[in-house]
Amino acid sequence: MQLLTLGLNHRTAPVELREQLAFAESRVGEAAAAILDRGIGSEAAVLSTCNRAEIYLVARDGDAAVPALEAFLSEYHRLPREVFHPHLYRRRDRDSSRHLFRVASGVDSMVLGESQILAQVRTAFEAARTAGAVKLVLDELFRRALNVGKRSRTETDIGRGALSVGSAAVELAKTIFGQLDGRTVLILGAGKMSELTVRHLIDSGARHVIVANRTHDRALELARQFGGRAVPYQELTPQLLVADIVIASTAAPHFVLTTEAVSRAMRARRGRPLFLIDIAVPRDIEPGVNDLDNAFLYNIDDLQEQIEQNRGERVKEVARVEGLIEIECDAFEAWRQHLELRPLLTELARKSEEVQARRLGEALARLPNLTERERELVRGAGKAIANELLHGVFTQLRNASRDDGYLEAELVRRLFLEDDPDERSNP
Amino acid sequence: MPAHAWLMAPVIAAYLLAAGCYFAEVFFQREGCAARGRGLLIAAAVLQGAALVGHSVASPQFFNMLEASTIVVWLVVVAFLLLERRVRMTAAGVFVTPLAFLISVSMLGLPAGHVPQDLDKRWLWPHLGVLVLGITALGLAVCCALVYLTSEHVLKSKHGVRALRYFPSLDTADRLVVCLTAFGLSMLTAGIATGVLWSYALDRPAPWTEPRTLLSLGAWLLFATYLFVRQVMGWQGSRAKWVIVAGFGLLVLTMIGYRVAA
Repeated sequence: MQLLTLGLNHRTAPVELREQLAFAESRVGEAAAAILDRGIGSEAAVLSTCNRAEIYLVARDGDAAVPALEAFLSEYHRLPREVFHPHLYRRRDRDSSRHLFRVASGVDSMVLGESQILAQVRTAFEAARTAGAVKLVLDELFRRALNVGKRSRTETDIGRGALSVGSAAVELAKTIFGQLDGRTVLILGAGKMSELTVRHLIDSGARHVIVANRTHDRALELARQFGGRAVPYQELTPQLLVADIVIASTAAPHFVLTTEAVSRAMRARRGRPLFLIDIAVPRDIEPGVNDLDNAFLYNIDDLQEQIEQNRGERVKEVARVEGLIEIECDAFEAWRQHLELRPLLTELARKSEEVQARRLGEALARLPNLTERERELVRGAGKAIANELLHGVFTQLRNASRDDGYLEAELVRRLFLEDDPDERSNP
Repeated sequence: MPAHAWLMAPVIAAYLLAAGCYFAEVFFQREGCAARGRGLLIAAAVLQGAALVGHSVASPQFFNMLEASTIVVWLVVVAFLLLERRVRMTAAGVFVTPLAFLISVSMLGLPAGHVPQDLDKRWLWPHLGVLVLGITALGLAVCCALVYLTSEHVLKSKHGVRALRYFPSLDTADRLVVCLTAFGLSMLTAGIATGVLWSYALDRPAPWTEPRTLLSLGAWLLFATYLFVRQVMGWQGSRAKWVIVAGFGLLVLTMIGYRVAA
């Protein structure tokens, strides 16, 4: 029984190919079931995101399963195999489980440590389980992957620190205001970047949006989008009294907010904190604003610097996450080896019971005068001897399975399960 | 020296070590250090509590300056540990632990039983009791004010912003400073009032002729100014926090003056 991963991601394939090989989220379970229907393996799961398309498979013969999976992909997506074959990666057994653990932890993601992938792994798992494509091995593998994903984010800093301008702005706003619930955001200049930043702030609780833009129609449109209000560009300064966060991204070639104007506003605000985000180039807000008491000014370079620092910190955490992954790989491999021993252990137990029943039956037939209690004692003694012998064998096999254990398993099979020709001739 | 006095040596050592741990975590990002510092603080609080109980059992005269300071330190540490469970306050450990260490060390060698025997003990307990509570609250308030000022400095300078994960938000720190100062000031007012009444009851010289009383009044005035400016006029920001720091500085001078007089 082999564990296989076949797929491509943002490192191995361009977006044009990834989009052709992507599975619709609503159909990943169905696709996993279709793989099983073709008899390629005994368990399957499909993980498809904007950056990767991967199939996880449990198959008896891995060598035969890989071309069969490629043929399935070709047929499913109506794409010649030659188009995607060079971009595919193939992982087996421990490499396969390590790969899924890395994916779930976010260390294989385009944005290192991003958390969305964990939800996507869960979705893939649940879809495959609902479709009946996941059984013992993949069930265990995905559960462990979700656990590793969670642990890597709670026990390391792989997911800490914002990596986009919007989330960096939210992070900084929270260090000033705590919760952003009910805070007011003033937008100067209705550009795409400010729109994205406001969306982050609104998602984090900011409620009131005021838009000031040279083109009033665009201001109205953006205000409507966020349920806010548009104000004429000339009435910008009074809005500084009510705003908590200001996002400036106009195309003006000069400062839109001067130190003097903000200083006047800060006096009127009686020092109530004001967070100003200047993402315009050339800058919209005079740098001297940052020297005012309780006014915090961050321009695009400041935000980028925070993002770079966060990225650097995340990179430092990769080694710790890899350590967690290796520990979990060891545990999963031990579980899998034990699983492979299961038929042997079951067979040993069955054979032991069969021999006990036969030999005890023969012995008790020769002792007809025994009372029922004495018979029970003899049966109990026979069972105890067999169990004690088997317990040692089981323990040794389980221990050996951690280091492959193939030879030990084979020896036990020969010793206990292969028929002895002498015994057959002399019962 | 009684057994409970010996307990203070490991307590002071624990405060110093805890201070190092909190510094290492907050300013040098050494993960896990704050947890060790917290463990040390808990151990120190337990030992100091035991020392206080031992002392109260052994000594018939309780509540001189040494004991009052020890109780202040113990209360500050316990309140910080409780506060840290509710609010992201790891950074405050950087200020609470040195404060606990410095007050404990400064009181070393202070003679016990300093309270003059002719004093009416009925006045002693309410006077020192409210002062202890007031100084504890104001001690925590100054720690929160320092947390605010540090956090504000980091946000303005844009260096070491990552360390802000150990700090409460400016808004939370500000609200804590206001609440603690309001409580501390009311206790300090009650303490000063009972002290004045006590002096009159004993026909002692007018209390404002003593420099210590004048320093206390100066500190009271600064805290009152802060609360007026913050709550009545609505002014926020770092300047107001410096008033708290200055007020607590005056209180420390009062305590040092007491120690020198002792």
